[in-house]
Amino acid sequence: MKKKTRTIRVKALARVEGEGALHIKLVDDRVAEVRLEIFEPPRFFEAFLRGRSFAEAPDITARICGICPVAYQMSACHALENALGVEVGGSLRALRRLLYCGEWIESHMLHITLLHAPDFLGYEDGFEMARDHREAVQRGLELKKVGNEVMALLGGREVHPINVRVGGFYRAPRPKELAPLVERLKWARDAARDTVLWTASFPFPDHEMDYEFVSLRHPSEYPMNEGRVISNRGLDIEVAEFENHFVEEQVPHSSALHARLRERGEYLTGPLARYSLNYDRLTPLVQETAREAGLGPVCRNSFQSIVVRALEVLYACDEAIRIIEEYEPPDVSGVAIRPQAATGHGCTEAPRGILYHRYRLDAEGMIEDATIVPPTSQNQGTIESDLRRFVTAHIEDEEDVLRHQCEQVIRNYDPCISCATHFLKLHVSRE
Amino acid sequence: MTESRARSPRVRVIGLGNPYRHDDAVGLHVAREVRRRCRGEADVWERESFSTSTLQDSRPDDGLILIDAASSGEPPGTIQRLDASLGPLPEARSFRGSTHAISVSESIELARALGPFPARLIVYAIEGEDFALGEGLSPRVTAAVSETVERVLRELRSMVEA
Repeated sequence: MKKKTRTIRVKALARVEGEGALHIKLVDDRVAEVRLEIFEPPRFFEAFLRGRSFAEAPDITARICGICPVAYQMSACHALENALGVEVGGSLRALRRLLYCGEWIESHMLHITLLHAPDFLGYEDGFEMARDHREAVQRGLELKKVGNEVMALLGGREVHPINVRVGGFYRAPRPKELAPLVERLKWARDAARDTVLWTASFPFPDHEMDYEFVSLRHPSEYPMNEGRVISNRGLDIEVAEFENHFVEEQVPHSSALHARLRERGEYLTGPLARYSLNYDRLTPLVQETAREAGLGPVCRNSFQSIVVRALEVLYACDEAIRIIEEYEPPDVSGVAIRPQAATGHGCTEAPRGILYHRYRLDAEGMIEDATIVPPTSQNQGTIESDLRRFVTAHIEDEEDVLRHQCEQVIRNYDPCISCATHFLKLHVSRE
Repeated sequence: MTESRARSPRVRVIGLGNPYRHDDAVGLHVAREVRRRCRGEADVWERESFSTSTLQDSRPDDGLILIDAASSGEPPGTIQRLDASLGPLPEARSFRGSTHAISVSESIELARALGPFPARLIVYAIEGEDFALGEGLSPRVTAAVSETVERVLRELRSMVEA
């Protein structure tokens, strides 16, 4: 009997950051092939970091992304401080966390408001949605703006902050400079709570995946800059052991490297993983709001990631207020650094998940070798599996509907394709 | 709470562009020259992007003139005047094709939906030829700068006098 082949194809994904496509092949109504094709050009950051001073790494790697530059700066700083035997604690540590709160707020709110919510409310894009849901869009964009204000004040600039360095900051703010942010963040906290309840009212399909969640785990905090790397299937390692357990490999259909756990294969990092592994670290306000939103301590439905992102915005507002109210200016804006030959590892929680950096330095502190593993490239395998599962469950649906829903499945993961395409092995053969 | 002090309607001119992508910088060149020539009648800015926060303190009687490069299939150096006051800019004209940033037309529509929105919003689009990395305008685009400057100055003066 002749096999019936159907292909679902999206040539250019809409409402994702960066350039990617989707290709699904069905044979006799079974999913034969799923490819998340990333053709965003590779960017070669790991290569051109070689020969640069360690001090340049935060500024260079920040350029990997315009939405999550702080994540790159933080992972770079922690990795280099690890190499150079430096500890950044006290108020400087708190300021780093505050800066990260700003980034989580602006990144998540951009995704929730303009990229993701339109899917649930039946709009082609956020601009169309703005006409009918003006208040929600205004609130969302204003919330994003508060995140940007935190980044601008503390980082010196909203995009690619200039105030971050290995060892701390170039200038630490005075308490009275931070104080005006408190009123804005209190408004933002209320607006974030409203956003959680708004997103919780969206229609969600019954769709759960049995993920291996991977995130940082800290003894007392909801993780941002520090912690061990853990999973819900027994992984519990120091950041320095990352490359012993995680492996990156190139696949033909993506210019972004895929990643897998050596022992078990694909995994998920990002808000759903952070939330499900660290629910007990959230503040009472956030836990209570989660309950009101109908979420328990674990969430396995990628569609509900929009609610989890909103909960993380609420957490970030709450945490930012706490940090500012407790802030005491540090004695120095940055800890002294002495270059030495060494290798260092860092892993921090970017808005989209764990971001791992490793650097090998020579005696002058010049970078000999760099490895950067962004969250979106780590999630590619899981996104493809999610698509496979979703299409299998909805195989009877009309093709246009199914295609649109598949795009939505991808958007559930808030992929940052620019970040994912940081490296490509290039073989040039001349004849 | 007293009302904020009344101000007279404001005319703003914003030149948009990326200074490192050849013809994409034309809006910046025009704005620079307009600022030099306009005798303080309008606020003149140069910006790499246009977002809703640019219009945040607009009032209904304000006027706004945007100048940007276009890539719409017209001969390089063609100057088009588009009136965004009444409705969306034509889909076909892409001012900055990018999956990493919201386009000018999308930002305008978002601002129109959310308010505030100026009563008069005119866009001058100059067709570019070379958008590759590098500085400097291509010859035909350079030739269009002075005529665009004249037209923008006339436009802003008619907005101020209205």
